[in-house]
Amino acid sequence: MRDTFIKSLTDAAYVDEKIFLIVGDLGYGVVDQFSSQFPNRFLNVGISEQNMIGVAAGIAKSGFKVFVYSIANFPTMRCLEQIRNDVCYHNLDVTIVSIGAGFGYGTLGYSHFAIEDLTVMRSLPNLTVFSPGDPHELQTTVPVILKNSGPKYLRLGKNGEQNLLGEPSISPFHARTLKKGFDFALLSTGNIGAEVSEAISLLPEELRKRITHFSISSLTREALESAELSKYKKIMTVEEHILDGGFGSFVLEFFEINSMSPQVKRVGVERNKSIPIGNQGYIRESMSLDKFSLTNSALKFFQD
Amino acid sequence: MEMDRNLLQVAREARKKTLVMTNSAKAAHVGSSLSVIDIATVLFNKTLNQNHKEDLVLISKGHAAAGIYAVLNQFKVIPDLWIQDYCKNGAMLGGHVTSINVPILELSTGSLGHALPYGVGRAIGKRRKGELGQVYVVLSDGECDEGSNWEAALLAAHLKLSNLTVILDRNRIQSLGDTETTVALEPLAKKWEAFNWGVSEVDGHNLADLEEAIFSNKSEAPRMIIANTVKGKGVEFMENSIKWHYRPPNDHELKDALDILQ
Repeated sequence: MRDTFIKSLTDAAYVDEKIFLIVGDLGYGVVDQFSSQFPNRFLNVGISEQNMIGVAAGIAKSGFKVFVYSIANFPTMRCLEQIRNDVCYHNLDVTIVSIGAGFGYGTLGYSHFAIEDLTVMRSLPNLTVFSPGDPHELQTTVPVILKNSGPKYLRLGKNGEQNLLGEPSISPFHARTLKKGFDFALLSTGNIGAEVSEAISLLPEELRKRITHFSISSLTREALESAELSKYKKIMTVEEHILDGGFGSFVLEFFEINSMSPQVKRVGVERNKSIPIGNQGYIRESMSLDKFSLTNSALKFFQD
Repeated sequence: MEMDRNLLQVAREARKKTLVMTNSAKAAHVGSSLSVIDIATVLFNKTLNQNHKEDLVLISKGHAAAGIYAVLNQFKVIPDLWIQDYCKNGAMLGGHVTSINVPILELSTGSLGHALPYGVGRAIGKRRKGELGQVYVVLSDGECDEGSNWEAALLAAHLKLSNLTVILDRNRIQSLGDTETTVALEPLAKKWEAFNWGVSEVDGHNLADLEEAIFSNKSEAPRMIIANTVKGKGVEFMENSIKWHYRPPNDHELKDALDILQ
């Protein structure tokens, strides 16, 4: 998704002269084309995230559409107050892009796990959270980001994700149907969607045909409304993120706001569980977020 | 807008207004407001002028809001009614600098260490768009404890942002005591020099010297003007006293203070 993002942004920057890219000393070999093509709209601020967001706010106020590119929690947690006060309160056109959603940087350890960012970022005023499931969803998301001013957070996987099978993405504000069923809905956000798709394929035929799988690529009410969730008796959410306040919580809040009360099961990372050393696949297994664990969770929840 | 008024008179009236505001609202930070009023008077006197419409003032020490608002009231930017309602329920102006109701301030502050990085971004934005004008940031000295300022200082000098000027209100007192006994800042000028800024020092209560320092110097580097000030300046019993970082004047103290300023 990283390469798709940079390519989409670079392509757009040829046409839209307001696009400005700031990096926090990250993106080795990734941002070269942008920086060489548009040196007047590129800036490496060094390793200084608080400064980076303040600078981004100032540049946005000057009339640019600013993209801040970094990884893991560096452009979110490290500079949260700058995002809250400088960017969000002033409703400035800054898009914070973080690579390595969930356990994307598995072997790099705890410092590099973006597993609380959805909770934190979705609480901020004026900010829209985008969490595409694959490069295809990202491609429909970038034009929306460019068209809509204001603060945005774009949570991306690391790189090399395959496109998910299913219907095409219409827009990030529209739930994308990856598989159609009738009784039960499985909602996922981000690139854990691939594990969910595989888990569904492992289910017994009788249950499998009853399940609809939606990929939700923005944490917006519009996206959930478009899924027409009142049609489903049971709903399971899956996220590579802590359960507290994350995607599943967002879905629960949506139901409360709309006076809906389906049976809901949230699957994600237990907040206090220790996380082993290993690659993303290994950590997903340890956190019961791999396809086999998800198959078991789905069997248990939907068949009860 | 009247620009030919006697600036000493503007500053004196702003001090009186600040005292009335903090008394009426029972609000804090009267000392910080009194120390920054002369800087704000000189800055706004010029930058509100049409010849300086490309310039921009950012108040990083947002807690000195009463003083800033009082100065802007003298320049007719803020109406008297808003000043009377300062910090009251439903008021237009609260205890920290807001840009929502006072757009010329541009950045709402209150948490320290925010306006310099933002100002660096503004200076970069102006330069990249080929726009004229200076970005002025008013910083407190205690605020230099914040690491974000030093991150911004590195970048501003690296980019040779000659369209960025910081005026540092060096009143030597922060929340719990003297800046030098809290976390020593000295040698402060040398620190900024070592960061490759163009550094000068000025009497922060001499309006002519301030104007000369802020508006006359030319530099290829970002500029740091250390304005040596007195916390609580102008009201003898408030000067250099940490008490007035927090305490609003009561009615009796307000009367005494206004008498001193007459």
